[in-house]
Amino acid sequence: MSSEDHSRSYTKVLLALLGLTIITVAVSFVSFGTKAGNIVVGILIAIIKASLVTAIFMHMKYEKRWWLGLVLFPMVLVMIIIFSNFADTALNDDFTSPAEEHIHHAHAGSAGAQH
Amino acid sequence: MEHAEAAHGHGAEDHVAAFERARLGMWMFLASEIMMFGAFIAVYVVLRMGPGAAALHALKDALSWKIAAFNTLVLIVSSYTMVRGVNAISKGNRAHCEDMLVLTAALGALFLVVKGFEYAAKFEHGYGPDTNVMFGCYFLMTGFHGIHVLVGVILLVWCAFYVKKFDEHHYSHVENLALYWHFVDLVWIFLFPIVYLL
Repeated sequence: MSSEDHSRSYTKVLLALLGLTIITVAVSFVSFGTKAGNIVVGILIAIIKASLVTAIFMHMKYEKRWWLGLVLFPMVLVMIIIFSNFADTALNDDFTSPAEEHIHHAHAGSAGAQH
Repeated sequence: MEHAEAAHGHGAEDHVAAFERARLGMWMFLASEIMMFGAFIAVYVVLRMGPGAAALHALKDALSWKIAAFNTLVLIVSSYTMVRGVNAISKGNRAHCEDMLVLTAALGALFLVVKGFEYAAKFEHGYGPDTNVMFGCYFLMTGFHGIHVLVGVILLVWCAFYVKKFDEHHYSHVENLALYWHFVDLVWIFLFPIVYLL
């Protein structure tokens, strides 16, 4: 980090974060077609806010370029976890009943073992 | 001989390199934190789309976005006061840095108090981590985040207490604490819409 004065950009980021928070709340009351549409918009605004904090408040903008990889790599891993489960969740309509049945069975089993 | 010369001639450079290594170490720690919170968020997303879909309504009905929005503003402002504190010490202004550290700690404590009331209201209505799988996720994510805020507040108070040890050339403790505090803010930036709004 350089010891230059970034005070003005700090204030701008603060105002942007406050504004984006208000927008986040406001758009949650507007329907973007589907629930998925709202989720995408909400996450996109969160990503913009996170980028501002990382770049300016955390000085990532002034650090060596490759340090950004340290942050992005674990995020990619998290995305892989989420998307690799889509086959079992988002793309499968009939997930609830077998899963609940399974939980029900497990409960009955453990209850039986205890008593 | 060479050693002595190197130490004498490159003192400032060594210091800059040491400061950079300290920050790099902190970023690596934060990368591991991203994986931990990332795993929690992944569990929440997967359960929400899968077996927890039915349980989600009970959680959404019990949560108040207004309290969470207030806490979001508190954390954002605390991130700003934190960055002002780092800015102050980087110019050698200890008094201003101390004020900003104390203010940041106070905002962190305010966040925890509000969170405490939110939890108390949940327990009063009979909701707990064992209510259903989505309540489990809610308490896991916000609980771990709350512990991070608590640790941050303790470190902020400690840093404010020892501010006289820092100057414009030696403030890596303050800088790294700021990185940690901003990270705690970052986690909440994602938790707020994911848990309370969407």
